[in-house]
Amino acid sequence: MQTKSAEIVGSNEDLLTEILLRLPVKSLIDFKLVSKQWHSIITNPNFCHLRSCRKTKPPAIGLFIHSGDFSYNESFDYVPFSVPRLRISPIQKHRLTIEDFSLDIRVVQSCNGLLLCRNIKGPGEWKYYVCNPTTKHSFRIPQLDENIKRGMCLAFDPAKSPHYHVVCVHECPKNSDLSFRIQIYSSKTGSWKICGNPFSSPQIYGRAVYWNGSVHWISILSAVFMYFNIDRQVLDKMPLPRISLRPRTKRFIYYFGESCDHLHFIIACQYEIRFDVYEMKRDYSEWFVKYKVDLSRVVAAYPEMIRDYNNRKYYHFHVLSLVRGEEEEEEPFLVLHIPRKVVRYNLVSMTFRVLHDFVSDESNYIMCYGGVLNSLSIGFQYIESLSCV
Amino acid sequence: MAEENTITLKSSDGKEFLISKKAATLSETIKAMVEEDNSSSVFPLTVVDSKTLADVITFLNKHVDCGDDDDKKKSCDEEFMAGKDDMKDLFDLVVAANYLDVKDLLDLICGKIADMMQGKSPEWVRKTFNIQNDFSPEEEAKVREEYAWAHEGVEED
Repeated sequence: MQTKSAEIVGSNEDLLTEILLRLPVKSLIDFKLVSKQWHSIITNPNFCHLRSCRKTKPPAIGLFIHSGDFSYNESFDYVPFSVPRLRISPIQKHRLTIEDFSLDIRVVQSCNGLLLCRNIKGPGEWKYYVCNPTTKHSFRIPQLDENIKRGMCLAFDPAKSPHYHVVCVHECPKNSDLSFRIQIYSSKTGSWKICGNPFSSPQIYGRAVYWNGSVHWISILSAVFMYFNIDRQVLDKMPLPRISLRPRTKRFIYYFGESCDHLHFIIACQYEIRFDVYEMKRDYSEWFVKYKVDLSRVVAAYPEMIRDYNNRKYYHFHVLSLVRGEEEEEEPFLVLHIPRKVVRYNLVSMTFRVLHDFVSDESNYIMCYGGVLNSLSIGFQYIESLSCV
Repeated sequence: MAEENTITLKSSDGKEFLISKKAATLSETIKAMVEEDNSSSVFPLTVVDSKTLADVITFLNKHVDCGDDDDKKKSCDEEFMAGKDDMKDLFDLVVAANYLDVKDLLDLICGKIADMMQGKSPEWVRKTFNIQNDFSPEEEAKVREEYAWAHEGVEED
């Protein structure tokens, strides 16, 4: 099939780039093997940036979940969302390549194709890595002197910049009143920089989510939702959802995360199987109810979700992730972890199907915390990316 | 009067095609040629053969008819691409679109070529693009090893 035109296309790097920019990541990774020229085009950071700029946000295609057996190591279970054949695929093991193979690594956060990971040593010895699970490249973030960190968050939006930031909130021991401070690491400069003045009572706890140019933290305990805008370097409060957050209501955060440029939040009570999915408006004016979820059909199909505590019925499930598509018409879905299964629940048609069956009882480990969100009961979205770390 | 609004494009194999100036100047290259040489009415395109040029002209005429109606353009493009799945023809068209600088056609054909490449093996690409594998076996093994995660599920040739 050799033609003159084929040779012209093959030798015209601009034309070739135009074609390659339209290919999915998987094909591009395959085609790095074509020749040295193709390898060089595809691995060029500029190509990756061009690609990110012209594409709308690619949706997640699977989830990394930590194995339930507590033997943390570098391999994660990977659950793909679409199963090519009509059977449930075995969970795939995915290994990250981290400089020090002896480290036990866990994922802290997934952000637009990159993962923030850290080792599991004592807090003083934490090392953070930014990894690209597609290219399997990883980079160790230089250590900050301040040991008492309240939160680390990766902020990366390839459509805006090929560079990423890591935001760290830490305590500053010298000052008793103004006791917290934010520092930002930039992959462009390769260094940390102190942002603004120290501040008091940040109400910053736990998992951070990057969306809309800002890092977000929510705390039900203190009923404060905060965000920090990276460009403006301003810490601000978000409105609260119009639902009672009082502890008496026994409501817990079931999910807080971003998907295809939407910020979602689920608060639910383990005694109920109907709950709302909230979405934040881009101008931070309010949380509105985006989806209404009713899991009664899932419970009917899997009655093992029903548990009993002090003669009171409750439901055993975790929301591992909420995934939206690139286009508005693609059906959004929840990924649920129920006893021994990972289930995909479509938010519009309210249909569901099993994505994965845990062969052993391993998932019970994850379920032992009841409905409370903990670091194990979360999935980290896998979004294919060629981004450099 | 009619003649003033049409020009003749001459393919590399010497065939002549009459086309409205309006359609022809959707090509930035032809537009520049016409602006530069207002007196001529025949423009030789030495790198585009008659078969490809006929296709390009069909495309240009369709797009002129569509005007600014994007929905209409989209269905015209679908009609235009129907049955175009021969890589040789697509390469001819993409080279012509690139040379003639017709952005819409270039986008369309690049997209089609990319669609055709999806799920194919590097070997298929090398054969199709007439590219020599210049990796040594060791280098190839290294690249393959790096991305073992991705090299699953490629179609057999």
